[in-house]
Amino acid sequence: MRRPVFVAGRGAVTGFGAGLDALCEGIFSGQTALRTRRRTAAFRAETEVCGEFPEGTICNVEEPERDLPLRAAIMATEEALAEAGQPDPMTIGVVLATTKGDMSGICGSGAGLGSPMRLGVLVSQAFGFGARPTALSCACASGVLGLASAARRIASGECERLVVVAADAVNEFILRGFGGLGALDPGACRPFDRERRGVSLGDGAGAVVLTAHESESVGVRISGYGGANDACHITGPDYDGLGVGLAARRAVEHAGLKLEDIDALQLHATGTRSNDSSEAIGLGDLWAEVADATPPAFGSKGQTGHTLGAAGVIESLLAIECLERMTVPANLGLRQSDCDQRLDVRGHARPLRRTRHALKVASGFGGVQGAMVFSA
Amino acid sequence: MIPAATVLACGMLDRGGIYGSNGTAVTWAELEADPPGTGRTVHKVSGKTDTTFRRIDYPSRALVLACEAAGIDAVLTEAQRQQTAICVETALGSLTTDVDFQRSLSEDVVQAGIFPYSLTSTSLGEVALRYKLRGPTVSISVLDASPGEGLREALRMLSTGDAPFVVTGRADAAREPAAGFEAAMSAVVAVLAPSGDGIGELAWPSDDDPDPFAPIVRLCAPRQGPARPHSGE
Repeated sequence: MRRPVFVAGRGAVTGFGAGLDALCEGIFSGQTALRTRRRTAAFRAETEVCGEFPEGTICNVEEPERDLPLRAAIMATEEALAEAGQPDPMTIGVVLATTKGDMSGICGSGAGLGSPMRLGVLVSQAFGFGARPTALSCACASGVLGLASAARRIASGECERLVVVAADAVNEFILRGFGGLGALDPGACRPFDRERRGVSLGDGAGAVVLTAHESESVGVRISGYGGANDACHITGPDYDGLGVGLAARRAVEHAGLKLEDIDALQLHATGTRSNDSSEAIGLGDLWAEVADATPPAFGSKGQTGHTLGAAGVIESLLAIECLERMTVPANLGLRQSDCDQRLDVRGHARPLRRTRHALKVASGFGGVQGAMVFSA
Repeated sequence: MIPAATVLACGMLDRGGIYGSNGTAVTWAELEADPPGTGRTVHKVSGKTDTTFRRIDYPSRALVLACEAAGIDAVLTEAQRQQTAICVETALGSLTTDVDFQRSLSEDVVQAGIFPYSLTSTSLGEVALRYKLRGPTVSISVLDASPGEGLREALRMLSTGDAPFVVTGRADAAREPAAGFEAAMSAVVAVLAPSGDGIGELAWPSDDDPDPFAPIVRLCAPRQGPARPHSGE
């Protein structure tokens, strides 16, 4: 018997500043946090644009590679725990999700060697959590797969509450890594637009408190999740979108739903030619079984930048918010799509007719795919 | 209580050689290579041609060779592999690649080709694409002193029905000492199913188990006869 898994608390720190409200207000009002790089300006890179944390958002930053992911993770967790009513920390464990985490020992003289588990232990110690911390790194699908891992543990009865925290911060390593692959848009990224040229990167942390108890819920539950692998290419997607379609199908079936039950799609939407094209084909093919087009869909990396491992949690928060606001926000930067037109993605915000179920999908290097259904 | 799982196959690599339940038992001296192998090692181990093996990073090579020794494509049918998850833990992660890539940033030519291997899930992707494993893929991070979470997560996936088969294990491969870590060269994998015929069983590891993968290592002793596809029961 699978127990239901409810969302009890939410928190975020992004290029819009500290707090979930700042993120949601920025996204749903069509603003962007992509600005000329400042903190990382000293590093040569193929773009001058980034979704960095605004100056002053996170204090006491001595070494960004060390301090930003940890402090952002802690801030997001504090906010999520506050919304959850400050549950007894001894009853909680942390699931830490990140792509690169604390790189201070690689990029400088710090102690961080990119170990997600070390970051997880530090977050756990900061709050005195009683349950053993766990950590995972599944590239840019880390956040979604972290939520799935936590949901699995709560659903199976192993835990009562877990906080999923995902955090990453832009540094020279990441900027030049994506730049070296030719994956950066020189300006602000434009997911799905025919002129898109790549991703914009961003700082971010997101936290979600999950609970087995409906009385603690904010009115949303994780009703299903799924994962898949493209088993096709290490850095590029499956051009037929089979992996993203498979993950989405598995999540919807896991939720006990039909495709036509999904009311909104929160996309991975990086802005690279190959990701957006394959995502549109994969989801278009999937929904072709029941409709001419997908449900209303949106991506948010044109506003936050690609926050890597944090993206899955941050964008899941936006999927939940879209159910609450009964609105699908604009896919900023999209003027004319050259992707599969069956993917219903637009450059402007739209009201939702129904707000019962939202699906979030995410992809990462290594062919990793994750999908998550949130139900109101 | 999460039940034990059936081990369908297993394989491992260490500084001594490569061993697995498909009968592989070969030393590096016999392979005429240093661990974790060269472009010809896969062919010597399994007779397959792997044209990209020499270009992948050390953790990926170690994992792929352990999987070859397990004979994954012999114990799982193509249809079963479509649903097979991968859940592997690591303490070192991509440390060697991270150090190499960071070093290249101060040089004229950035080694962009190795950047994808700075993400630990890439090694799992190398396994997925070789065996066409299309289930969920999860790279678990552990501290050296507290291993086993990758195995726990694999057992959870099986017990909840989230995956009917899981390739689980641990891989830590670093060419040379780096950033306070000693050089390492080990990978161990097991193909797990919730029940049915297999070569052994794996139970839920306790929190203080210093070596949760020891039972798999013991199963990797040379075995007789070819591996057979799993019945799926």
